[in-house]
Amino acid sequence: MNNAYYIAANSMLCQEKMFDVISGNVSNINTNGYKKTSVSFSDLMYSLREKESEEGYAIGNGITVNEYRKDFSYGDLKVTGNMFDLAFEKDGFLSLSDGTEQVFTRGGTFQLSKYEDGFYLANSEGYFLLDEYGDKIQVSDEDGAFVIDINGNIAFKNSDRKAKLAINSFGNPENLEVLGNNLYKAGNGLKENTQDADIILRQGSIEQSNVNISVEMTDLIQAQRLYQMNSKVLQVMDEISGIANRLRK
Amino acid sequence: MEIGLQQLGKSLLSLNTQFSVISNNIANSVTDRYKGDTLTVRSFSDYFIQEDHESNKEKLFDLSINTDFTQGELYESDASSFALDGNGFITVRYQDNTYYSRGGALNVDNEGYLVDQHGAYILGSGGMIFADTKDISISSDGNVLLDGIYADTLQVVDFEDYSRVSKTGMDYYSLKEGAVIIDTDAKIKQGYSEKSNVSMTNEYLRMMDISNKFETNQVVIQILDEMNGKTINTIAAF
Repeated sequence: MNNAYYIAANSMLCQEKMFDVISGNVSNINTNGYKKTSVSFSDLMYSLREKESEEGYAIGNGITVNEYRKDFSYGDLKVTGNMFDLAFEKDGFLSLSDGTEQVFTRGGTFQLSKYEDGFYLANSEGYFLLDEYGDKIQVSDEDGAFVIDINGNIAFKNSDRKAKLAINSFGNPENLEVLGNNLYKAGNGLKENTQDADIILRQGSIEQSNVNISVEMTDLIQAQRLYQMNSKVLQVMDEISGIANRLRK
Repeated sequence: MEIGLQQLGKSLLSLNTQFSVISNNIANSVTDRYKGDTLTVRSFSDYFIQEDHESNKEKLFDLSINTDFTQGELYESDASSFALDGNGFITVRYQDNTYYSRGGALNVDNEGYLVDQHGAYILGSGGMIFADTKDISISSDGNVLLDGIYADTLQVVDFEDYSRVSKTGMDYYSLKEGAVIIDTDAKIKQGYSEKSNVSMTNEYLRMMDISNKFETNQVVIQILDEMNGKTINTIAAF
């Protein structure tokens, strides 16, 4: 009967989820490679009431979270000059593996990691960078410094050895599963781009977070106002129920 | 006298329903493409004159929902969303049913078909649209271009009488009996989303209004009750 209670309470819960998402974004505003999460809402099913009228009318039941979505728009690049820093100017993901599972990243700071017989390119989480054949990339003392061009070709300074980084591009990166630390796993329905994508790899740069603080603040204010408004609805509904209870003095 | 009480009771119930509608509007004031509802109440006397009283005891009030279809504000969002500028709806297929919507997101599903934010197929003149690419653009006339090449035209329609359109949730609309589909000159704007058209000020005022009316009804019911009591006691005193 008192639908308004549930609609308002549910809406408050939805706004709380909005607060969670916003605070997650704001706290990651300085996290390199972080991609903003957004939440979208949609209206809930309508229930048909037939008794009170000729034709029946449908009454709404409130709001629900439609989806959480990672916004894969490109962050600004910051030039660091460190040859171990990799970033994509536009589209692209690097392929990594810890030996058991393959993951993807938008870039970051890599390092040389010792593994059995030699040193390999890896990130700080222990995932090794993969070349186009899916193998780890060894960097020996004789190779010296290396230069990576915009297509991911690695050229070593002191040797003729060549390698090419595995670069993937996805039609629907939103379907990637988020692992944190700028790492993603292939999720359901992820589609690889078969055509040549817009790939520009930059060595010596780092992608910054794509969170825009002014957008987050306006979203926060809006969510807070709506939260307030809904609590007002609850209050008024409570008054109305009180009145109904006082019908008989 | 008895009808008076019954009428007031029904009035309280209808105010309660109106309050539900208002709280639904408020809750959805952040839902993109949401259209505000109002509950209209045909008064008792209109009904009483027209209809036979006995057969309509349950229907002292005739309630119906009016949806305000005015366009919400368009705001710039990402390229994977689109909105309609003007009166019109795009056609989608969701779980084998045809629905109409005011736009949404452009996604591609596992099989490579163009779908919206709920996974419903966006229909073109030739049905589902195969779009196995990342570069999807829609011109203002609804022409779908894949990698710059024309693929299909979206089914953009309008309806003669919006009272024949009902909401189904998930910002979809379905047609009631007697709905007539007509052409529209609504333009598609890619990269934009439409805001909810709910006005917070209006909803707030209506909420206060209902709260006051509820109280008034209560007072009248109490007076009627007192009068009943007086009548009974006075007669008994004789």
